[in-house]
Amino acid sequence: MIYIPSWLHILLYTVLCISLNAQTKFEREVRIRESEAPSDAVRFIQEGNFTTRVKWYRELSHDGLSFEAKGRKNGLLYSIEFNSVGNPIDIERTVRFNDLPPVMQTRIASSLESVFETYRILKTQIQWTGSPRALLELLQQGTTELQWHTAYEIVLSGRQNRQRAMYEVLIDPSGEIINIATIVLRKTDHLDF
Amino acid sequence: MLRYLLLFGLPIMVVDVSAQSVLRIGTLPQVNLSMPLNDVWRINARIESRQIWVQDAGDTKVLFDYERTDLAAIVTRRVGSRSTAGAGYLLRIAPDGNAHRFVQQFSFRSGFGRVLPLSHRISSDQTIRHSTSAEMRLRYRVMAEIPLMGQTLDPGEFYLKAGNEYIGALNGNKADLETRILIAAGLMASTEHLLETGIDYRYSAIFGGTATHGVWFCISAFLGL
Repeated sequence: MIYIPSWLHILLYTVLCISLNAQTKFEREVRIRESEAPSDAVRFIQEGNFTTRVKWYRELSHDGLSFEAKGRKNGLLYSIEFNSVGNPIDIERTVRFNDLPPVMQTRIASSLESVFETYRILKTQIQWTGSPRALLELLQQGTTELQWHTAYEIVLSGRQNRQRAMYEVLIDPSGEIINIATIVLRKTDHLDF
Repeated sequence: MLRYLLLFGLPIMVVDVSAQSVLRIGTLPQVNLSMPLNDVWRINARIESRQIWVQDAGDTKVLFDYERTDLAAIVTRRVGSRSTAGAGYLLRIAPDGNAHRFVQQFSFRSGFGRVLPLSHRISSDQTIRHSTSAEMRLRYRVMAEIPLMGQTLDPGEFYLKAGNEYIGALNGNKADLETRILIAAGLMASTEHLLETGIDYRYSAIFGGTATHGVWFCISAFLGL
């Protein structure tokens, strides 16, 4: 893995932003060392008791600078996003759709069927948002008495108006769709030809 | 586990101990141009040349020989969220006679969200030369892109590319199987332009006959219009 210093990352991002159309959404991430992540974020992860080595990433986008930590715990892949000063924003846990409670599977399927003619789920993530203390307890124990919110992020291949594309759908626990975003896949001529 | 076996474990390396094997080493520069026609159709044009720097066929040794230039164009249509189908034509210009090739291909991606998503290509082609019978081939290739600076490949970042291809050929009543392994390093200069360099190893005559080992140093540019 190649590491680049943060000043170069920000410089490259700035140059690219200037060179792009003002209406283009831009987002890029690079792998960083743990020593380059905010100390509060590192401490949060250390208290999370991950079973595998945690990988750190720095992400620049139109929303600003953020950090992401990815690691495995109890066989599940966790992704924790932090703001620029190291406060946790959300936790995402990748699960199998069939491992969700049956009532939740039914609610999600019902919502997706109302939007897509056909669909195939490719990835399911449970997203937790809340206070840093709540997120830490959720990470450590899977539950907390503090206030927190759950959403389900579903990545699928779906058909609408006889056109098939990839989508990211955010659904709340009642099954209501919060947001649908089309995933634009990067061109891969160097792999296809 | 199967995806890793496909990519790295299945290349058939037959140790050829006979004196009837040929070794060729050379360069394979390529420029690939791609342009969308609309939301679902795309055209891809390629110019590729091959130069042999060393050819060792027992007693016969050749140092530097221009072999051929290929001009190809393929039109593809997106048929799924992660798959395309297409057809095209290739003109091979060579000192020993030109060849015409008709190509059909289907490509798709698998393993979304996994550590190593793969790109698959299944293709067939028919090659017509003036002096020989037509050759028909069926090919399967699997390719992987490994970002070196993050989870996904972004502009300004380097990557590795690894691929493995099997080509079954039928020429008259002669059948052959060729395997190819590609290892390359690349730079995504922008979302539309990529540059790569690497080694393409090819081994043919797996079913018998004169075995040919080809080691080609590839220099490729993929440009979007």
